[in-house]
Amino acid sequence: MRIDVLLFAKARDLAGCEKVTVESEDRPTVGALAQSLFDQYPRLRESGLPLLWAVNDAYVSPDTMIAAGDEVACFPPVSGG
Amino acid sequence: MIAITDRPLDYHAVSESVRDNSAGAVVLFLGTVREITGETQTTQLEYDAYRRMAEARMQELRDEVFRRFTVVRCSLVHRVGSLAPGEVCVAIAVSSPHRPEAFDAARWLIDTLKEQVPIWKKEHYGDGTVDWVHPIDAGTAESAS
Repeated sequence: MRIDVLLFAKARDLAGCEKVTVESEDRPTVGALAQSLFDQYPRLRESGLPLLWAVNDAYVSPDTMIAAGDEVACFPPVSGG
Repeated sequence: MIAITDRPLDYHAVSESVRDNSAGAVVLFLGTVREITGETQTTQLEYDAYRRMAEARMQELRDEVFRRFTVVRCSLVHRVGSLAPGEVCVAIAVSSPHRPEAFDAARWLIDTLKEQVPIWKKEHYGDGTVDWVHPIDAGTAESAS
């Protein structure tokens, strides 16, 4: 299954683009998708940058399952305001 | 009024948007770009947002503030793009029948926005370096749920 992941801020800089397509198993968990993302973009893993995940505008935990059509985003700790 | 804008913030409009005859107090909070922190000089802040989720999250905060506090009206507007020292990055306005709730609600809103809303700032320093601000203790999935 191919899943688009939106990246922001320093995660975007490390991957070199604002959207990446990650190859993963069918209906992966967020945790499994994160590992696939790191395999494709090792700089994200090596940096040790803490990363948060959101699916369809809601924060999710690593055991959340992703379905086709979900909007997935990955980003470092926020700093608005 | 819940919005993300890339234009200079009309905080007067934000404040006016919460005025109501059933309110006796209006609190307006402005977040502004601070130039000096200790010995560090900031020359510019660049804000970026995951707009769709940031707006959704701000809407949820607004809904939550009505559950937690006695609030008549509430508005939140955050600016994105490049800001110079002194400029306003965020405006939060709350009206309540009485002032304690207005102060408490406004404080809760800015504190929670800073923890949860997917907006990031990139800081430009006086020595020419540039860095994203990613605080370790903010924006965790645990604190966001």
